[in-house]
Amino acid sequence: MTDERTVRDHPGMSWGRRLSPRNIGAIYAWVIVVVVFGALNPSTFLSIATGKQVLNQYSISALVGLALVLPLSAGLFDLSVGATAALAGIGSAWTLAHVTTNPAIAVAVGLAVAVVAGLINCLVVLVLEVDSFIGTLATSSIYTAIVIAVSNDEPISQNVNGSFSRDVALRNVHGITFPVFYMIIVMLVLAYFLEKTVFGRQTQAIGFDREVARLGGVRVKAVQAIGLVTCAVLAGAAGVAETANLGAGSPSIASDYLLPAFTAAFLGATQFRRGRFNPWGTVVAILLLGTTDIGLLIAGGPAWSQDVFQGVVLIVAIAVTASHGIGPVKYLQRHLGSLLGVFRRKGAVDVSGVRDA
Amino acid sequence: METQAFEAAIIPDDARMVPDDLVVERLAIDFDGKQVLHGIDLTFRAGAVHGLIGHNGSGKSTLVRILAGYYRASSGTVRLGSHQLPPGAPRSTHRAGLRFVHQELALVQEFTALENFGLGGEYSTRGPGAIDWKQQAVRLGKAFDRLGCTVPMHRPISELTAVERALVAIARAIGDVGDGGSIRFLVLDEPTTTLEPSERDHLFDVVRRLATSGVGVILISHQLRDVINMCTSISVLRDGSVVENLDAAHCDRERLVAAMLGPAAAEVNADLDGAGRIRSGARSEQPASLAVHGLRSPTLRDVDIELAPGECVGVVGLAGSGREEIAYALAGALPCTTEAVTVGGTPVSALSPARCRDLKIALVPGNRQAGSMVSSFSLRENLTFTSLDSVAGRFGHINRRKEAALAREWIERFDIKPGDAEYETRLLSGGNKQKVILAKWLRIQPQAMLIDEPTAGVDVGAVKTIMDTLREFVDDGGSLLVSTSELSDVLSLADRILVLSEGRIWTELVRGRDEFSERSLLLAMAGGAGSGAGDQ
Repeated sequence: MTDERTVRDHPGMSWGRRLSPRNIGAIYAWVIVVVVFGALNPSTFLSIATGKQVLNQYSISALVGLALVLPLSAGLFDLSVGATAALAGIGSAWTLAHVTTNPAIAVAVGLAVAVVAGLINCLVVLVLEVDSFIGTLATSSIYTAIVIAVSNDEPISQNVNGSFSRDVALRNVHGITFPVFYMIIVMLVLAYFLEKTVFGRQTQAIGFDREVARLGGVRVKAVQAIGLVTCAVLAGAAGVAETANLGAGSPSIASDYLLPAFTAAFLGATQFRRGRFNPWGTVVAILLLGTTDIGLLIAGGPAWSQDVFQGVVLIVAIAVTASHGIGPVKYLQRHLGSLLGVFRRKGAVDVSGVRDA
Repeated sequence: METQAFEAAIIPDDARMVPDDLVVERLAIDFDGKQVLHGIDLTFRAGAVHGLIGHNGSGKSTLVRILAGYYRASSGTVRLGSHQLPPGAPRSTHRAGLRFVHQELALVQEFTALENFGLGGEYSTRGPGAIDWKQQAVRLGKAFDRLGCTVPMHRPISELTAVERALVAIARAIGDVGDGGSIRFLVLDEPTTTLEPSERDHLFDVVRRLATSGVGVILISHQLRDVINMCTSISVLRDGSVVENLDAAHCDRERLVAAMLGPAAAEVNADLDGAGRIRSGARSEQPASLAVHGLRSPTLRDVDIELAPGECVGVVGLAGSGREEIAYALAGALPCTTEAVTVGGTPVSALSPARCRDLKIALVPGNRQAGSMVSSFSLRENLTFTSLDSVAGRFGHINRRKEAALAREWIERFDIKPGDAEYETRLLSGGNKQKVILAKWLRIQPQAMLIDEPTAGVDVGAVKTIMDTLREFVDDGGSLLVSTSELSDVLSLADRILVLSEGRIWTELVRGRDEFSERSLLLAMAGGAGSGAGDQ
């Protein structure tokens, strides 16, 4: 009777609703994609090897997408994820080239660099109170500049190709490389914290209605800070893994990962947990994008087709959430308002009540 | 020069020489079957200043919206002279000469007076669409001449005084020529709420001057003193009908309040369901749950409030008195300063919403206020939001079963409909939303609650539940502050009522000692206005 109105998947929800396109439309889209490309190239596309290739190649993208789930849930953009990934990757590569070949230390340095980046983001967005969209756009260009400076704008491959590359990224179980497992672990842990803990509940409240969270006694900035730093660490982990994957620390990581990550996070918000950013949807979205990419590649599609598809998917994802009128779209509206500087209020309560008659 | 301006103003721009009256005939409107206006007849004479007053719910605002063309009346007409104004057509109404200045003024703070002047109207242009600013400045100058005042034209209006901003809004209303002709009637909706007493006099002069030049002015206001001073005649609305048309010269505030409230005016608020009995021991020897001294905020100056355990304090006041901010300011949710704050007798440094939560002081916004609840959350998520620690274990893990059981318990206790805890809160009715908000805060077992507008948008049945719950809270020893525009709420709940005016406590009514009625409250609220409150 009240099916339409319930918030999310809960014991009372019928299977009809759980399996409806509204809830898991991306999975149906994915099935359609597999069928279409499978029909085009049955021998090359429809194989386990292709499936593994999708997983292996896009698990790192998924990690960056997962990184975004926390800050977006808390109402903040983080446009520096790509740059942070590159920075962490370069940090690891530089350590390997100049300090030690111990992979563990290289990884630790990479993650530490990411933490620093996350803290800088906190300084800009939470302390200086610069709008998160603009603030992280700015910090991303700073991080990219550091990457180029440290690497002289060339990949650092010395010592990266050895045990580091092998242990961190290339080791595999039945052809499925380690980063895929990192992705699964992060997905599960993130989902747990977001959905089952007090911290997650507070994060979501801040994202939906910051004022309610504030008046309810939540220390908003502290929660947002945890979100930003965690995001940076996860992006950094992705960067380190990609460096290991490539066998070289590369400055180009930054631009490659930003848009797919946002596409995945926003598309993910339309799935499973209507209107709320969530790890499951993000991963499914990345797999959808990845499958399509590989499919287009195998089918011999032109080079630009992948980007077009990605752009279209992002637009559709936003439009669909707009029709719900909740969740992610609010961020965009709020962001536009901040840009114009018109709606910005610090600590003031909107007390304009409605007086009738 | 001045005489020229006067004469130029008196002679209308079009052929009609006789100033027309604005006549409202048998105007009625209903919303979904609820009759809000019952066939109103009113005549507003050109060249005079008319007051239109009415209590909350009288239909006053609805009438203004019909006049402005935002609503279409179900029946009846509005005509200017013999020309009937088309219903629901704001632009035609504007062209016909009916101009409005609403309470918020609708001006852009960062724009100059000159830039605001053209907003929404027709600009003088030069060439292909370029605004002729020189000509605009001339037009604005003429409008100011007509008002007999002047205001700096090229500074952002945020730098001007409140009355100067009001004058800019009025200049815009009269200066716009339009197709049909110049202004004939000016409707001012609550123009004085943000003005100092000295500024009000300035506004009165301008309004009177405008009237002398042939423009009819309709003044809508709760500030009865201003209405009596500015107007020649006053019409009183009550329950959707015009109950009296009075000559302002033979009126005082008591007369107006009596007309606004009707036969129930003098009736001291009777004991409703055993409510409102004088609480013994309310002023006990225990230290105050919350005491704030020297509270200052953008709208409040030097307010002292003490809440004793087992006591309910009501706060009322007109718009602009600071009543709307008081609860938030006390909790430190607004930028404000205090001289001293004690909680339970112990001094504390400044309060904030987070500190209040720790100290078991609940700031409860009404369901229509910002920050009351997360609309997209389920009932369960909203109900447990402030008390998550009670259902959480290690790592902050939320015990779902405990949470669901808790949600069910409160849903039953308050009879919240629909009873599904997973329902999205934004789909609930106002009354049920309010119950959720109240339950959310009662869960922390607060020692003090600061409530803002608890019954706005709430249906009658839910109001009773909410009132009973609040009464119970106070009886059990809690301290309650109720800030509201609904006078009957405080009359049935409060032990004493503070009346705010211009940011200060103007007077205090104590149950048993002073008259506790809507009449005495309205008089007190009107009494402070415009008189430089603060001597009491």
